[in-house]
Amino acid sequence: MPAEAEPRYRLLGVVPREGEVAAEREPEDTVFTWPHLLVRHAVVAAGVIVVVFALAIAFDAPLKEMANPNLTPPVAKAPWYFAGLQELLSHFHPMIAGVFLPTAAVLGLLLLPYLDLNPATEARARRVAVVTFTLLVVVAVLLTVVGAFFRGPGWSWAWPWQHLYLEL
Amino acid sequence: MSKTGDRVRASAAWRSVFRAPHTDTPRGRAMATFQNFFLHVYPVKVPRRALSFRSTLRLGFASAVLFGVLLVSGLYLMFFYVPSITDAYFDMHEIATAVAFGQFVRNAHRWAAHLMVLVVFLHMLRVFYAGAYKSPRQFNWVVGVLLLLGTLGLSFTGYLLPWDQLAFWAVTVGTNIASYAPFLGESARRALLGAPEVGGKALLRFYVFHVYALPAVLVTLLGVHIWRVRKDGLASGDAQGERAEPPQEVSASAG
Ligand code: HEM
Repeated sequence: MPAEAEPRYRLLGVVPREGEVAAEREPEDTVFTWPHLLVRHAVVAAGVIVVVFALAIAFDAPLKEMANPNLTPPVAKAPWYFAGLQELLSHFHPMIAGVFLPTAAVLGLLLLPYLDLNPATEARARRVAVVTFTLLVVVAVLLTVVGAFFRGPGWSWAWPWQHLYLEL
Repeated sequence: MSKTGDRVRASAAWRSVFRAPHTDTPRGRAMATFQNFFLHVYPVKVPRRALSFRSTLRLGFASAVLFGVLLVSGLYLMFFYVPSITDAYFDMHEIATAVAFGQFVRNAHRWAAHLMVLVVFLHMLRVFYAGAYKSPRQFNWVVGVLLLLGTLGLSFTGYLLPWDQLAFWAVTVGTNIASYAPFLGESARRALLGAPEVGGKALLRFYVFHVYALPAVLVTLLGVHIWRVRKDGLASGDAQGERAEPPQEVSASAG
């Protein structure tokens, strides 16, 4: 056998065996799921159900006149979670506001974990991600609030304390 | 615990259902989770930090509870609702006036739906600010985004069903946007509505999406989401997760 074919080894470092590493790590402080976590979940579930029931008792879901394609109401609003989109559409070409921006938003969200490769989780160590995301969220929330609360007939400006054109 | 309670739990019938006898010992507590089909999505033990409300604000869990409320209340409404333009609106009136608890169940369904959109959005914010989309949870964030889109889709398709002016015009406005879809244009809106305008075809289409297709997708995605939450090591704070592969041998060979 020629000498070149022999693999040669060089010591790069000494890594302790897993057992020793694990022993050095703080043993994780664990508790039983039953009852500790399940009791807390039961409380949250009950709380959520109480809130829904209270709303259901206090407020009736709206039911207007029957749908009539020939009678355009003065205010035609999308559901509140799309009011921001509708607001955007009143400012920009539909190609931008209706297609480009929503697509970009969804793609941005889907790809976020693959774009943001910074492993840090404390806000101070990930300023760019936190500031960018916060700005976008604030813009989206503002658009939604304006569309849902501050728009009236023909998408004109309306102060919600004068007349609220919002149906849930 | 009372004597009767003990006697019930010791009975053959109880033990045939719950498999493990409940004893207040560490083993009994482990078995309570481990031997229960519904609870076995939970690990037997959780890190103490998972108990703190602040770690997740319980927003993901609250979203799941709201989804459960919607499934149950929606099932009840389905008994009384026919998705045709001649019946739908009058069925809504029947539900409000003639069906036992009809108005209450409809109200609960509607408010839970609005709340779910809100709570899912807040859950997403919580996950972002915790940095909980980072390794090993990248894919679960993607599943989460799909859940958000599914939630919006469910809410929007449900919005048309009462077939009143509110529903009709909200959906007309909403689907107009689809006609700007690149390349497809007007035909994208047509595919959504089954016709050039909102009408009987759209009502049926939205109904099928609302009560069958989207719930099926959401239940499946939710299964994956919650399974991944567990596999990725519960609420973040440690980046470990259950190991997918055995730890790799460190070898250093060089030529
Ligand atoms: C139908 C909607 C959703 C439901 C029912 C749901 C449910 C849950 C639950 C029960 C958890 C466990 C921890 C917690 O309670 O926070 C969780 C964690 C998580 N969710 Fe969601 N989720 C939904 C939507 C989303 C969305 C929209 C995103 C993000 C875009 C997302 C991303 C995540 C991630 C990354 C985790 C792991 C977080 C951690 O381990 O700290 N989920 N989800």
